[in-house]
Amino acid sequence: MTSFTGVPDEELLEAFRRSDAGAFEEVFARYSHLVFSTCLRVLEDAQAAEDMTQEVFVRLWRRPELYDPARGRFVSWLLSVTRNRAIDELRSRGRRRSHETSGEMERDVDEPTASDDPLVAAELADQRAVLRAALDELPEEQRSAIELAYFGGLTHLEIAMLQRQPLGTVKTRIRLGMKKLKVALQQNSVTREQL
Amino acid sequence: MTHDEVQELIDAYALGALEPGEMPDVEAHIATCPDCTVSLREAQAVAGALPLTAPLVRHSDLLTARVLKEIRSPENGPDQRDDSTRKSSRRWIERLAAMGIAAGLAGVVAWSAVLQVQVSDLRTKSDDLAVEVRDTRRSVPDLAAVKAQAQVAMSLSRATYKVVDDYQQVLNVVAGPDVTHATMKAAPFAPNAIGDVYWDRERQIFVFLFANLPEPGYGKTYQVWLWKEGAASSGGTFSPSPSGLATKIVPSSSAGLHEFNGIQVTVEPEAGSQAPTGPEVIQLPID
Repeated sequence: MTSFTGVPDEELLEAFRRSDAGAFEEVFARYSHLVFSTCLRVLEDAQAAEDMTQEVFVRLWRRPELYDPARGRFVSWLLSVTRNRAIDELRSRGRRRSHETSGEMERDVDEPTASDDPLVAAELADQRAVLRAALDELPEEQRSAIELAYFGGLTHLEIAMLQRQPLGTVKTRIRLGMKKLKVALQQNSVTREQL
Repeated sequence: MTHDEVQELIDAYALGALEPGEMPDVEAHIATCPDCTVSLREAQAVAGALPLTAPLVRHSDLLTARVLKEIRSPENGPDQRDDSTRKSSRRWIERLAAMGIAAGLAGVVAWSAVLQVQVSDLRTKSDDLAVEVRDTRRSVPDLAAVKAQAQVAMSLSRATYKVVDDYQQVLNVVAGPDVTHATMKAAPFAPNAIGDVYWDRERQIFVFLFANLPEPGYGKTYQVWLWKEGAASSGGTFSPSPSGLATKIVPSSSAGLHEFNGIQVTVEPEAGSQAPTGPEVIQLPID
């Protein structure tokens, strides 16, 4: 079997568009743990997160043309699709969890590597560190509003009701938090091209 | 909605935190505002990075085995992957079945609620415009039963039944064995719009399915045009739902898509026009 280690994502995608299962396996090895982690963050259920991860990758295998390189980096697209699918699943279950970072998750200090590909793992580790630090530096109320929206699938009105704050306050928190994240990411050169 | 009001909502939009009712106005403004388009891209870049902040947890080896087994199954072989028409049809069937069934069961009020849910669905699928409803293969055959229920239920209005009936007709076309399908291309007026056109030779109708259409504007509507030998004939007007979805059935005595040079949808005054006058929304060139 052809070795795909170190091959850029775009070439891998080209290969498995031609039904090369080996290329797909490499993509799965690179990003399945990240996809699973995203699903778990949203669904807070390991079995459901594995089911969703399977669905995301099988769908990618069936329809690789859904990814358009012109719209950004593959991993960024993959994780956005994953988040969206997980939010759909969450809504279909009628579940509304807190989605503020749980204590159990915070205790995960011996973090595993993000990818089975060492080069990809190292790159992702750097980006994750920048992003996590930027998020952690936000005031709690801004961070939680952003996380409830993105990982909890809540609208700003739902967040306002949950947090018993005026809607305008929640809108402001989201806007200020996102602005600070944008600045932090730009300062650390974690740009759209990289993501 | 003013430019400043939209600017204040762009971050929430990128996070998927807008109320469904806010979406059409925001999307319509962004579609015509270069500044807001740039702001949205920046906000989407930030939002798109957020999954990397999730605590990293490795999945089980069993999942790896499950996925690799599934992709190697005959059901997921290359032959299945290339049948885009069938998948597109199924995608729409699933979407329409879900919408139609909901309408039949709960009436016009619930129909509106379903459309609101669809707004949310579409918002979360900027990369994947197909809303795939789980288990809808089972749901599609059930549509006839739903229609029967709709007829029996005294509380259902005639309008509700018509909605179900219309969708039954659409389902019959897109699932039909002798149907030609083509995908339309969005124009700058509505860059996120998608559209599929189906030609049913037996029924002599075109069925158009659209998603992500912005509101055409006050006093405006959308109009379908079929171009042939340099002249455009109207296929009729239509308005999208609040979630940007629309269907349009156009009877035609033609022999099919190949008889035309192109198909387009434009924004026109509410009463419709004799010829295209407004901006193009989505189009299909035909060689």
